[in-house]
Amino acid sequence: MKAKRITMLGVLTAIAVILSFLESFLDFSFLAPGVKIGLANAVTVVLLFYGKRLDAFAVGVCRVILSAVAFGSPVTFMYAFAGFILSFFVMLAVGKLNVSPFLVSVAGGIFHNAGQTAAALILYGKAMLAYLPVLLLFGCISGALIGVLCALLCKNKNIKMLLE
Amino acid sequence: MVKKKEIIIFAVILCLLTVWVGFSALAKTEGSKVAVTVDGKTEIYSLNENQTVKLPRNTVVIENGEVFVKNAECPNQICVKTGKISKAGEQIACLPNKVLVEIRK
Repeated sequence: MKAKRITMLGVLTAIAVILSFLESFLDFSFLAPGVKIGLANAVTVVLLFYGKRLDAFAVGVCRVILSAVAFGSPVTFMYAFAGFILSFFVMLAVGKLNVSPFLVSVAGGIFHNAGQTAAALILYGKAMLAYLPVLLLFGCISGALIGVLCALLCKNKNIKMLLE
Repeated sequence: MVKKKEIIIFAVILCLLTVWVGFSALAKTEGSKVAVTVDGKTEIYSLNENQTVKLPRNTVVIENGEVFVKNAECPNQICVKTGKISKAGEQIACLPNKVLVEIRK
């Protein structure tokens, strides 16, 4: 059982890093610098949905660190980490309200960008607040798109079998 | 699996955020000064005066009431791609080089 869990987490981390890598090709920087759609968050949402909070957190942290080392920078790491931490705990709270993965993902998308803006405020001062409305709107829309994906993934019987 | 109530909650949040984005876009006014911050130090330039500001890793150009970053030594080139800005509150950020160009009233 232990070996299965370790293998599962390794595979899920790899999937999350690959999703991060793929979305780094999607350029939304005309909206605000460093905007991403958050594909890798699907892994976190699915794990949270099955009640594996510690696993979701561990896979998320590893994904953020590995992505930054492989194709990011210390600055992108700080943004991604701040965004992940805030979105994770908000998703944890929203997940307890007995809602579907869709709404959890929407909350995650919005608060990921709120966390990033908070990091930018510390680094660059209050001028970065100008990006907040656009970032939150984008987080809401991308969170919804990823949320549809999450809802489909959570319904899948094979995934259910693997995670339980 | 996604309940109707959740779609409504999502729609309400989406509408609120859209309204907020709309208002913040309408609230933009003409600017007159350009604040260039490099690594925490800010220099102010006039927006109405054509000039080129050379920074260690970026070149900022002020031309005909508009500002843009002409070139940058960074991998992503986000600041160059941002293009021209002219309204108060608009910004160009180069995160890797810690450069922030901002228009002020």
